Amino acid sequence: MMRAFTRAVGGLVRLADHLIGLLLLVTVAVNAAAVFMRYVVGDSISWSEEAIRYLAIWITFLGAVAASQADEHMDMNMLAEFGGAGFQRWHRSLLHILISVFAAIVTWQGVRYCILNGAQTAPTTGLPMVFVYSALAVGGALLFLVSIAKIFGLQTSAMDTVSVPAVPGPAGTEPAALQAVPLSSTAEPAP
Amino acid sequence: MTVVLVSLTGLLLLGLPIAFAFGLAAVIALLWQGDPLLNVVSKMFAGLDSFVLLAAPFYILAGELMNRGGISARLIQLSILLVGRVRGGTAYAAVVAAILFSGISGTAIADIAALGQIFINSMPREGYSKSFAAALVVAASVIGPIIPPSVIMVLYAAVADVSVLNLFLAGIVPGLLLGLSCAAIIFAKGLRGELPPTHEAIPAAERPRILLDGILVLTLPGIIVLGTLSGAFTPTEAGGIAVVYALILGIFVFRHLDVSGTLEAVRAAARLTAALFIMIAAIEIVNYILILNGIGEWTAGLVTVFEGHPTIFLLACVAAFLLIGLALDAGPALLLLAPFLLPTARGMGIDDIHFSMVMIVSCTLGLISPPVGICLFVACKIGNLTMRALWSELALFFYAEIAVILLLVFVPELSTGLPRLIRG
Repeated sequence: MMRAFTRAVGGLVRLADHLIGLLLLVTVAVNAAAVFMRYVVGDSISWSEEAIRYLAIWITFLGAVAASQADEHMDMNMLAEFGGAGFQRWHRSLLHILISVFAAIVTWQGVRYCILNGAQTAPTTGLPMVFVYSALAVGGALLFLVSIAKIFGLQTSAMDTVSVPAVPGPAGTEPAALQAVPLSSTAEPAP
Repeated sequence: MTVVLVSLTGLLLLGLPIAFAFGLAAVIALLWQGDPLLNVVSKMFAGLDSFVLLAAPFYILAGELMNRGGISARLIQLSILLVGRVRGGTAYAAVVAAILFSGISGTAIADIAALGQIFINSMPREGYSKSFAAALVVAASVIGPIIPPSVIMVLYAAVADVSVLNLFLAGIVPGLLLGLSCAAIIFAKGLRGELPPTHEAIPAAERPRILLDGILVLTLPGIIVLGTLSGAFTPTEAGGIAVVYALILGIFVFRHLDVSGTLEAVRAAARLTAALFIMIAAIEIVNYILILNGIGEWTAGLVTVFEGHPTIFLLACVAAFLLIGLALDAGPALLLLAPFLLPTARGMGIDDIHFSMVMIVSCTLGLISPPVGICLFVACKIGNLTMRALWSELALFFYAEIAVILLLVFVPELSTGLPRLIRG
């Protein structure tokens, strides 16, 4: 049952990962369109700045989930190479428990925030703000699921006597020292 | 105030990712004070609702696309072409490449990732020691976030409310000085006869193409600087235009990017943006708690402590952030404290840009200071070196860069001169 859960979370995160890429491309396109309209057509788009700001909020909260799955959040984990595999497993599980607590609070308060302020509308686009504010609740909920799946992965991998987390992720099997590195994915492919 | 700072330090030392450590510390403090938890989401949202901040994803994406689009290799060839023929030429070329690359990338890690692979593994073939090659690339990587565009400057500008354009301009001279300090160490090594001659010559037939490619690549920082200076674009819009330019260059001109590579670059840039922004958002909650607890009065008290001695105040700040940089990544600390320290510095008559520049360079040096500098880890990993071997060669470069910081402290014009000259 938990394996199905882990797979489902993995699927959701991959979806989020593709979505943030798409949103970032839309941001680039809106920005380019705004500059093009201003200089070439001579008629500026009034809503571009607001749209880009709100897109960035969705990129942040969905991207934080994808980054968490890929272990790409910056930390200063001096304990990462300390102790044996058993210690590492429990230490990382503890960290994910803490993350899941924070994620749960963000989800809970994010939902309240939507209920309290969701009916507001954005100044230029007139978009109901619930479409923006809900990013916090959605991101929080997904982050919670990722952490739970990671804890499960860490604990079941103990039974399989494999120290590699069972959760699939682009950097999930990287050595600990590189997990602290945000840009590890920029290493250039051989030219 | 004690509650939030103690829990923050504890959570960071435990190894929790910085963003979540800030977030949870804020939650603990809010619960302790009996303040509503709704602040967690409202402050996170407020911290992100800024147009200036949006320059960061664009610069990250442009750098990522350039990197995957075969740009690093071209810049390195250009650097070897420019300075490669003197004794120790490849070492100088690494510094020049770092300076050129920093005009495209906004972070030190991007520089290490792009230049490290090539220089750390190729320089030993010419007779340099591997630890020297790694030390050189590490030392030069701090130029990345100082010469514009710079991601840390965008984040700093957003939290401290200073002009990002002025910061960009202010970074040019200090960035070049950092490059010069690296070159000086190489030169000193040459005087002691420790530099091998250059073997890799570039065939004359290839030179025009390398120059042309180099010009095409370096048009990108040109677009950013000239476009924003002339007032044609905001720094955020310039970042977006740079992305479009990098896409065209990578896909159609150099033909090094394919669709899947491009999409992977976009996703990686989006994830990195998210990791940075969620940190900014969480810092904003802690920021709010510090304000509630009267940090403003505390920093205002610093004005009386350092009364009439602004330089000593600056040196104290440099020392504090270098020390923080030894144990932790000083960047988040700067983003947390800058909104409070900047008004204090201003109260003592220190120019905003001067203070900001000195702080940003001090923090950046934390990335390469042992025992936990991120750039050190990456270089050790690429070169398969121990930290001790790397540090034995890096120490001299590190001290030379500290000397640059002192120069920046004592000569404010090095930071403020260029923005004042160009923007009046």
